[in-house]
Amino acid sequence: MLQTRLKQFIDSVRQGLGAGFVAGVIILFLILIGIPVQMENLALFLFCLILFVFGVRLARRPKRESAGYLVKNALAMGLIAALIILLFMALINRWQARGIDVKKYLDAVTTKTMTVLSGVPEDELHPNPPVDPLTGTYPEGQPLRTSPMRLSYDSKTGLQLKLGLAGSSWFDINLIIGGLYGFLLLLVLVGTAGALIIRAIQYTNLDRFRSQTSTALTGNPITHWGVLLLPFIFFGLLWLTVAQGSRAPVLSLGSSSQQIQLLLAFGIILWALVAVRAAQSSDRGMDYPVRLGVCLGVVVVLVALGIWHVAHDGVYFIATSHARGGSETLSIVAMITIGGILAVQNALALRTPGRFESQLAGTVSVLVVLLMPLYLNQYQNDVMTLVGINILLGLGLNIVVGYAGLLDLGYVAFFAIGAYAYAFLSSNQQRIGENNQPIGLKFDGNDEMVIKLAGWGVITVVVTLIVVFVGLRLWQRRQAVQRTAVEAHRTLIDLPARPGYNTTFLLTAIAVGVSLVVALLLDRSSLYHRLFNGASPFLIGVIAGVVASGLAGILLGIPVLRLRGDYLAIVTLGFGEIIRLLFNNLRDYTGGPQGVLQIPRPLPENASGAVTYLWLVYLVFIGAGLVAFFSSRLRRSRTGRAWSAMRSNEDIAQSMGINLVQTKLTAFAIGAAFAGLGGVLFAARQRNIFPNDFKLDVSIQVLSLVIIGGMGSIPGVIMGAIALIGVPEVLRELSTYRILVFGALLVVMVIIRPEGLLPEPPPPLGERGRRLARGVFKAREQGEGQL
Amino acid sequence: MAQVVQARRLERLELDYERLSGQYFGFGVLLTTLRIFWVIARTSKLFGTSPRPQLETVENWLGYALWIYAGLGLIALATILYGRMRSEENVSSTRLMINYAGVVLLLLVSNRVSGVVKAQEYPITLWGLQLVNGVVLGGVYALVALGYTLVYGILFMINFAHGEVLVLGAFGGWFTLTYITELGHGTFEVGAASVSAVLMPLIFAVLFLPLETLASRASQRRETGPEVSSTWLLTVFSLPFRVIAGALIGYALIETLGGYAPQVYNVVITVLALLFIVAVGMVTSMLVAIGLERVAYRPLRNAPRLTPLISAIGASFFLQQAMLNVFGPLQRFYRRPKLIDGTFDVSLGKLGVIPVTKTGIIIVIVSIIMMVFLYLFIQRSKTGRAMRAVAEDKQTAALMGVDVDHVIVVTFALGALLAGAAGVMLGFHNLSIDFRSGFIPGLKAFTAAVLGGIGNIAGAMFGGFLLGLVEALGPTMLGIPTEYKDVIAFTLLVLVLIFRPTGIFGEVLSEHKV
Repeated sequence: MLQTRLKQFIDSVRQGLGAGFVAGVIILFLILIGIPVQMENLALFLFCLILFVFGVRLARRPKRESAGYLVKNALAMGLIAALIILLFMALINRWQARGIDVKKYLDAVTTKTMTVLSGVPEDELHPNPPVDPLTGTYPEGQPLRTSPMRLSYDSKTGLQLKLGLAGSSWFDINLIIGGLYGFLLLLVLVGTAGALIIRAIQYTNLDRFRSQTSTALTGNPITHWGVLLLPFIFFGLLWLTVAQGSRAPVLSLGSSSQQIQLLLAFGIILWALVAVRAAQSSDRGMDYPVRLGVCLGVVVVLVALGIWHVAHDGVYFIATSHARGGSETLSIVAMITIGGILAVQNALALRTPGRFESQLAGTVSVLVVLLMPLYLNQYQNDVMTLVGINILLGLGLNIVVGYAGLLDLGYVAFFAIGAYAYAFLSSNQQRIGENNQPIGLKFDGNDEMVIKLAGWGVITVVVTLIVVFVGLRLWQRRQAVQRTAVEAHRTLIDLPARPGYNTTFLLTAIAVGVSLVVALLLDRSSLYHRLFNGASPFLIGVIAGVVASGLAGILLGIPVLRLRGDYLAIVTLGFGEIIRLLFNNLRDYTGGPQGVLQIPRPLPENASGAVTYLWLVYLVFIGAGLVAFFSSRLRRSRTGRAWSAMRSNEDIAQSMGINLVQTKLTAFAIGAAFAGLGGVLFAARQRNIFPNDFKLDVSIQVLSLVIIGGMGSIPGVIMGAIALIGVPEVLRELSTYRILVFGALLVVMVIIRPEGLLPEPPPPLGERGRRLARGVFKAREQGEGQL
Repeated sequence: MAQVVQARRLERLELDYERLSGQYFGFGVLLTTLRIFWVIARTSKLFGTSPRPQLETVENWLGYALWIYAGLGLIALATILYGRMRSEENVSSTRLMINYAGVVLLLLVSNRVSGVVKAQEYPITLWGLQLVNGVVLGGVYALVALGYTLVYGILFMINFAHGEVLVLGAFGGWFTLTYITELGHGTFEVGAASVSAVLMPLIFAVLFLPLETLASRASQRRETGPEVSSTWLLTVFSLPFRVIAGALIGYALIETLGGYAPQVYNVVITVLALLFIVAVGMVTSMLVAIGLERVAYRPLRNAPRLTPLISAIGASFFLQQAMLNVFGPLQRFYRRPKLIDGTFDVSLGKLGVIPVTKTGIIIVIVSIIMMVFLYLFIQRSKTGRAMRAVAEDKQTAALMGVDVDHVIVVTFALGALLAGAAGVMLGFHNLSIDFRSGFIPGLKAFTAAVLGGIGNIAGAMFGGFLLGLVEALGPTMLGIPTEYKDVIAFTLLVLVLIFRPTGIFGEVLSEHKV
């Protein structure tokens, strides 16, 4: 009896025992080769490896296991690791008691291994400046290594774990855990926490959470409204902690206030997503005037707050050539306009019953997100811009990878094309050639090019519209003639409602040809100059970038159409590298490795004040909003359904009549166009672009945030961008590990939670679908034990 | 009605136009290659310093022939397309147009190449040097491509992290090299002597052991019970004597060589030490690949096709950054022992001398030996047969009693062994390794595998050598600077995937998997 009980117990903690053994051996290795400060990287790396191995193994167990199982295994892990290390420590103590100087030997082994592993010769191996022996402190003014975790061993204090981010006292946790035993306790806690986190990540289902919490919260108005108004609450916190004008903040946060405010700002965006999803369709028994009043009241309050901030503290976000420092009037007018639009939208939408909560949540979210940048300083707005551009890129890649299921690893190529397109059109860079004479690059005379492009673009659009209109009319007339002929022969041929491929091709060719001819002819006269003199290079640049990237997407798509997923990935990867190499090597055209410098902002010269950073944030928000809007509309359109079918199974989709060629090309082109938009904004932000900005790492970064956030889900991508790009920007010191973590996260997430952190809810099924799903679920549960 | 009848008359010829167009393209490749070779041979004075004018005439005629070929093809294509347009059937002509576009591309390329070569008139030594470089590169690519092809044949996924496996093998070799050099206090040869003094006895001791008996005993499951055959006890008792005898013989051999034949001794110890380095590199790669398979690929056996690909990408970047974080960003430098340092001059008579690096020769020889061994292993051994079975149909192989998991691990291990050897040899050839130096060779090796037809072992070898040659000869032939050789490799990949997506030797896959 005791034996079987013992056996059962050991079976239940087997995972923990195994992981503990591995952990103990690894820590032993750590002690042997590098407990003194030099090995932080290795220490952190191996530490995370333990967590990863344990957590993933544990998380792949079926859901029947309870949290108690996790805690038991984590405890077992800690105990076994403790046992191994205790034995080793006992051995060391015994040797020291016999007079063998173990520490010297360990030091020698450490330095030797460190030299070999890192390649740094021995005398250059002091990562920290030495401590002053008299005062015991680091000397003044010397920069310390900013590694986040230091694991060190001292014969007096034992094992010491320092988790500190140099420079920010808020996060500096100096845990001198009571020697060895404290460290083991930490190991147990970290193991348990890690396993619980991974399990939570695996099994959290926001929809189940939403339905559960909403049923629980319906009777509790406080929490329900709390969730809906969370963005507002966070905004309030931000408002309280920001210094406005000359007034000190109400809530002062000390030296790491910037990071905390940034985290609050990220929180605002995230909770905005959650609030919009958590809103239910209920009117709460309010009549239309009351509902409208509440929503309009919210709008008025927030807009007034914004106007007060703008007027009182001089934070303008629109600048004209007359008001270099920003125009107060225009900013206020813009805010009132937005408020007005929202008010009108609410008034119209609230007429339908059941829209109150979603309207309120949506309005609050939009206004708060729009007001947020006014309260952040330049650095924080810069980070928001970066996150925004990544959201844009992520949403574009979401279309290609998430909706259409085409793994595109060369996404950075379209990004680069958009950025260089804008750079070519607007840069004022002069290059020094031979004899120290300044030579413009081949895109000197960009004003000419801008005017020409504007003119040609307008002509093309006009001519194409005319040609298509006329052509369709002619075609319809020919169809009418053929119809009478067909009916006379009484055959079963049915005439199409739209022109076929040949006719479309012909029309397109005619449109392109005629617009080329017309544009060429008009080019001779100075019509373009008169119309477009002073055209903003940024606007033309945006259009040029988007069009150029879209065309590049189509051009790339044509060869790769018939390839399967694996080949597609490699070919797109190759294409991304080719584009970067071309930009790097065609020095005469692209500036080569020195890049393109002096890209102007779309602001008047000598603009000053808050406008210089606010304009970019708002542009990025507008861009990201447009892209999100387009992609959500595309998903629900016919094209989106075609993509979804193609992603599930190409052959079946083709037999259902979906033209694979066209669908894939559409996905590529649209994704590329959005990347081009992101590239233009990136170039405007950076103001100097180099081919090294467009390496493969960018593609992998964007791919990670799409996959980890949730393939095919817009809130998922936004959350992925914030979690993977925004948070590491705040915790600057972890930036060297960024791609490492992305790679590991990709592997882990795809194994334990392939649908991503914030997936789209499954489409609503009809009654029959629900019955089928229930049957499949029951069968799977019954058959689970045999699998 | 008349139009339909006319189209049907054309159809009665019953020609398979798609296949014909494929053959048309193939013959076009032949013509182009011939023309290019002829131009190169003539301008590089291979036929003598003052060649007869007939050679130039032949060259011009080859050029005209290509133009005429393209023109005839255009006429044929136009006729076929016209016939198809008029007939009622709805057949797509993209294959025909792609193949014709391929011939046009070949024409343009050959024109450009002949123009460049005639203008520059490189000597044959330069071409020879590029050829040799190409073959050396090709050997490396072939070894790594085999790894990709083996894994793809069984799992239908591309092991993106194979490039990192390559570099980790190179790092393993570097650590061993450093260890040996340290043993010899800075000289490789002295260190090699000490290492061989241990290795030689070890090798002989292992040779003297009854390996087959031990292995068969170990692989028997415990169901056989406590049966002990009469010879088994004898075998067990003889083990220590065998080990001692082997060790003594090995040690005696090495001492004799040292005493009486110093040149042979030097060669023997250097070779042993180098083999040891390559072996350690191979073992490192193998361990990494096996770990990779367990952690990143095994849980995703039944997942949709995209998921293991993403996992592979993540694993590749994780390994790269892990190397950066653990080993640091500094380059590590290999040092060549005196035996393999230097060049071997191939003299072409009065045409000149081609300097061939000794490491290059070793790479080519070792690659070919390893490829032959792999081929024999897969064709003749039991595990090889199991691998072929699993590649053909996993489920049926499992029904036939093949341990699919074991076979997959063996596949990964084999590919990694080859990659590790390639990595160490690349390290000796290029003299410096870095955490990033596996990425591009990995991609190019994949290109090579696709070129030859992925899933096909002979194809991977052929594709590797072909890619190496194209990469070495391409920039010179096309007259573009050498920074563009990566571009050439990727462009070749795209072109192969457009014009011949099944690769040159075609895919060895049954239809229902595609």
